[in-house]
Amino acid sequence: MTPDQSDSSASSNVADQENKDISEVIKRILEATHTSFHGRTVLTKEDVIRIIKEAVK
Amino acid sequence: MILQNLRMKNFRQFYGETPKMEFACTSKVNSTVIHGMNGAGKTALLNAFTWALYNQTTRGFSESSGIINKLALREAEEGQSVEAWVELEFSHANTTYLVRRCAEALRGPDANPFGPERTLDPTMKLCGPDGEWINELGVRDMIERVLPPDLQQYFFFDGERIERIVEPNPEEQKRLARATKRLLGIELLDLAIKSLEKARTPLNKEAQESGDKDLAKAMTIHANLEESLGKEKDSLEIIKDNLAGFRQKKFDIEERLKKSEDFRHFQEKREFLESSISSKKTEIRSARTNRAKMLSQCGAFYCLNAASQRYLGILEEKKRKKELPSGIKDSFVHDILDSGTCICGTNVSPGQTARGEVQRWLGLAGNSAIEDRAMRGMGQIVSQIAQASQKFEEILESIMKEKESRKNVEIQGSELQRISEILLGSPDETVSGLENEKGRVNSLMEEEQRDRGRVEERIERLIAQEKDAWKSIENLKHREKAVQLAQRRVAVAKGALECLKEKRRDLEEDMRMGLEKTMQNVFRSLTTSPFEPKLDSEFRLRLTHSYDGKESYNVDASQGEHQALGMTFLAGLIQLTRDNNKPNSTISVADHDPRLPLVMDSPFGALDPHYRRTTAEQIPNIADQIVLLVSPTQWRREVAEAMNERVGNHYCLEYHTPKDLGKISHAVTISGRKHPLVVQTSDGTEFTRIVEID
Repeated sequence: MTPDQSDSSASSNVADQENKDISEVIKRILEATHTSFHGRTVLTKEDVIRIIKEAVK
Repeated sequence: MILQNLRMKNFRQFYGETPKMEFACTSKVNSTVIHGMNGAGKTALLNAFTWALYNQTTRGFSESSGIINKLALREAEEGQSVEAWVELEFSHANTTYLVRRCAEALRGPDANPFGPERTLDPTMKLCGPDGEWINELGVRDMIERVLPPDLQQYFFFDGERIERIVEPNPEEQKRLARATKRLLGIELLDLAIKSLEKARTPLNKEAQESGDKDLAKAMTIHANLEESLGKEKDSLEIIKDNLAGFRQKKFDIEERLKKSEDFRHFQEKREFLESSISSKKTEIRSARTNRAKMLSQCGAFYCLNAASQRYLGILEEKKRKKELPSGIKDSFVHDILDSGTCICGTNVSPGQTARGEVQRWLGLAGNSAIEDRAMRGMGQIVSQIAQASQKFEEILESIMKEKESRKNVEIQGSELQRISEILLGSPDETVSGLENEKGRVNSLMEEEQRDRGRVEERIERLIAQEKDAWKSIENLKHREKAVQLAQRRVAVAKGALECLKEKRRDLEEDMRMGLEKTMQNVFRSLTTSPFEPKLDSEFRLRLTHSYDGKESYNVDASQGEHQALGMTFLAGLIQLTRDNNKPNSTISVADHDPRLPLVMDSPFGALDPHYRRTTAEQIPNIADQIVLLVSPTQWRREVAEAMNERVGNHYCLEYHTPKDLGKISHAVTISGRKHPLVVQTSDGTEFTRIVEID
């Protein structure tokens, strides 16, 4: 593998991981919004930050 | 949500306790029809649902006249409490619920309520897994989860006001669009987007509290230290080279001096003296190191000599006073006591004075371990003190030797000085010149040696600083990882937000298109109209007409077409909501039960016979359960024929009135039998009774 190919493979892995993280965050945020929507509770800024931090480690 | 049954007491026109109205709810037979004349209580019945569930009533329902039945109030005694209630049983997601809302008032002097009516919060029971009923707390929350209140107007629908859907005022339009988006799950995505947007700022802030600057600073410090260290090391190398050069120069001079026959012996003596001085200096350094080592090993014992002597004195004293027995063991004392004779022959039998003396040893014999330790400690101290004394003797001897060596070095140094002066004063200019040069080289060498010491000290300090700086970098790199993670989170939050916005746009468009398509299908099945329903980007509902490939929004639609349009809107909305509320949908708004009821008051308002038939055919397909409230003029033959197979139950609202009914028949014919809808009373009372039709 040439250095260019190696760089390209590494950046592709990073992009894949970011896409996975995005999907996971969306899934968790929608679930939490859904729960809060039906439970008549407020989804706070802190809740969302916690969700993102748990999803992206 | 599926409605099971409804019961009321003293609710508006309905005097006393009504029978339980059961609602058909199978997939084939899903409709219930309630017949009533105008004013008999159809709208009141529609409102019984919304009042029980949401404490809300439709716009056409005036609450000013109160909830409690007038006749019930009149019949009560003055000051007596009269209550009205509605009990609605419904099932949702495999659980059956019973909700009951009550209003009460005191009867005043003029048969009106004394003071305002008081509506009590609903109570709810739900059917447990074993069929028992248990109380449910948080009734309002639960109902709102089943079907949100701002959407109830579409499921408990006043058909006479269907034009509000078709031609709403701007405020109504806004509410309609918002409720529609909510029903379709778009609002849920809006909430998720809003939540994510709120979280971005603190996430950004966290990422910006960057270790970047600190790390860069630490790296710079480290680089500078490394650079300085490099420079110092280079300097040291130069100094070493210089010293080597000087040493060589000195050697050359000395070799040349040795070549002079007259001065060779001076030079050789000087070399001997220099070698001797160097060797003595080495001995002095070595002796100093040894002394330091010896002092660290036994210095404390020497310093504690007085304390150690005191300790030994105490032990000796205790031993003398026999407070520390000398190795006497319990077993030995017991043997003496058992034999009754001491080793000295004294009688120590019981009762003898000497026995007491021997027994005292028993108490002390237990301390033999202490004595052992004390004696061992004493032995160690004595040995250490002896060793320390010996070492100090050696130290003193070493100091004396050093003193002697120094004296010798001094003498030899003077001798060297004298030789140098002789050489300097030599008439042979070569010799004096060489000696002079040697002196200069020696000075330069001393200077270089001092520089070397300074540089070596700086190098030592720089190495320590470089180690600390590297440690800081390691720590900051660890922090840097946290910063990188924070930056990754920011990027993910941004990506998620963009994705959600895109998803929302797509969903809104999909929903709008889906709703429009369903509406167009339903509209076509209801009417033969050339017009077509359309929803614009703001979810505004319009009838359009395509002519020669051009689309016109200004169509002259009939009242029937407008009514059909309203119906198609409801049908489309319910269909999409049902689809969205299927399990696994992340955007459902009605808590994962796709079944929905539709309770409609006067759905066939101004429709002509053709539209009435087609609407009647379509209504049972619109929702999972239909409850229709109709007047005889609406429940025509064509409607009855179209719906017959889907209707499970019929109820009549039998209106009792003192008014003269004349010869007009107020009845409804169901399955060939006539059922009265108005009954004349002779006692002046006016109320409505619910009658089930077999």
